[in-house]
Amino acid sequence: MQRSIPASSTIELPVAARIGARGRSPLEAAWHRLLANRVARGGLVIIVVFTLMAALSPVFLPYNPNVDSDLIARLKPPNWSHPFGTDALGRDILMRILHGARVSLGLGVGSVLLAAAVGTLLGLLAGYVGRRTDLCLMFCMDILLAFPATLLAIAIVAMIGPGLRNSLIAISVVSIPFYARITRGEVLALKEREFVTAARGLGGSARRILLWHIFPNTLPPLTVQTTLAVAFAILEAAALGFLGLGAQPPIPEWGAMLADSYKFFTSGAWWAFFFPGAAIMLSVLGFNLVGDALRDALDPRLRT
Amino acid sequence: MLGYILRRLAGFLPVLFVIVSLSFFMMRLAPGGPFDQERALPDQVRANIEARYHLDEPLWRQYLRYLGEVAQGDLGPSFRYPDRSVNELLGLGFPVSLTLGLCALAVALALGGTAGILAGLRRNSVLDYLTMSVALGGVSVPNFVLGPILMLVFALGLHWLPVAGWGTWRHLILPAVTLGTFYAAYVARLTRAGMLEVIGQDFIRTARAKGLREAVVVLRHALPGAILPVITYLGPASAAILTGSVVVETIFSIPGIGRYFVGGALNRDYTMVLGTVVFYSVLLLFFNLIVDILYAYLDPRVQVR
Repeated sequence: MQRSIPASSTIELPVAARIGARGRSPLEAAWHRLLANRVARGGLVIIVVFTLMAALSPVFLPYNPNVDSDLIARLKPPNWSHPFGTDALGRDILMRILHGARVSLGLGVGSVLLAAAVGTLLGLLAGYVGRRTDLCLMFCMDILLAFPATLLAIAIVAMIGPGLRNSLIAISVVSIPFYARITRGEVLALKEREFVTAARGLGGSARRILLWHIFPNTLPPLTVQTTLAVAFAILEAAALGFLGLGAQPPIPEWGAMLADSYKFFTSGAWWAFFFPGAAIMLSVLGFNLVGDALRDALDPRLRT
Repeated sequence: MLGYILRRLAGFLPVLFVIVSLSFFMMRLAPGGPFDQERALPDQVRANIEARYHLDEPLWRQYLRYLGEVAQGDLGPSFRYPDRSVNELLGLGFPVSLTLGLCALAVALALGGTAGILAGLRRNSVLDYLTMSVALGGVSVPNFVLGPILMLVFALGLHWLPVAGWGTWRHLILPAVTLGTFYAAYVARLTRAGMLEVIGQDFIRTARAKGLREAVVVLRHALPGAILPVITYLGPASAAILTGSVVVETIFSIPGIGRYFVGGALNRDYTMVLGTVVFYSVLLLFFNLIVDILYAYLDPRVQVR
């Protein structure tokens, strides 16, 4: 059958051929595509900076949130001794943001890792075992998915009580079904491929096939999901903190800092609100940028 | 079609049953109760209160009682507002939340749709990069940061709009924009992608070759195809906007369901939290059904079974 190629469509073949000619593994190729993207480099820089903040500030700048208040220096605008100003209890905002990175990023990354572990496992099981296991698991996932994330997270916190650990659990439960669905879909597709049949023909056990042959191939879509999920989890954690359902005072969590300061924000003390808000925005932006770029890099067909 | 709807409706029952049971037991098995306060109540007062709300009965009895009441549409009394029932509170809050949600959805569609179409038509232009950068910013700004900023600029700085509260249409603007921005950004990205896919196809070239005006080509020929992904997104988005108003209601002191919900969550008001969850589950189940029907109606390739 003859088909004319519309003049407007570009032909991607030379690019693919060039990458193939250099003899890179698909992973290397994806990594290079990612680094070639200016936007992704920006996102990576943001993530690295925030990670360093979270990792290094407890080492170099020890901080005890319980004894930090200085009621004489309440709501002071940014100056030399307090570059980001002080909050309503006279606490140094820069210090709290630096240490808040550990709490907020920790919540974001921790909850996503937990969700990824549980969700992927459930997805692998549902996809590979099939039948009744699949039906039961997916019924539960669909119920969880039917709820909008914020509502579900608040409901879970309402049930198990507010606090740092409980908000981590809540955010993580909210993200589990996404992992389970994606992994299951991938497993269903991969199960029928020749290399799986070959592994089975060679006498591989179900566990070996699942862990060594199928699981590695589900990683690319899961990586994209994970990066974007971290951005989402940071937002959700900050929202819970803002509503008073997440980290409890005096823990320096960015969302809780916003809740403390937003009533003063409208009366002129912008710094107490602006800096934690900017920290949340920047970190979320970083993960969103990298996530978007990763999707393009791992699946060049989707590039727009 | 009618059979399909009836079958879907029948499918709601087991789902609702699981949701109600799960939330009931999770809530009750957690430590702490609605009447645990800093200052302990005298034993007799406490016993009287517990007897009034049947909290002294065994758990399975309370569960059966709750199931029976929910089946009759009664969500019980609120523990936090003793003279009000949960049904009354939801009845008060829902119209407010719904109005806010619909306005936010309108903002999202109008803003996001227009931006997406323009960006898709002028691919790789300055306009395209600009709108897509703003959109990326939009999905990264939490509404609890955007809200106070808008409040500061438009209410306290320029005095154009009221700071907070509820009543006139002027009170509605800032919260609706705050709530809608995130979704506007997402809609813009979806519309742009859809536009790019449609605009290169043959029937668009034919429409242009017929000598139609560009506006007609874009709005009548390209747009219906381009917004299909947006419609798929509309179901979850509307649900998320409706329930996502929790944070915005807190910022702007709006008396919607979200405020009762958060209040209930903070005060372990069992019936309020459970009631809201049940209410929203029913609402969302119907919502998904409507979206599925709408989708089958708009895209003849989709068959409902």
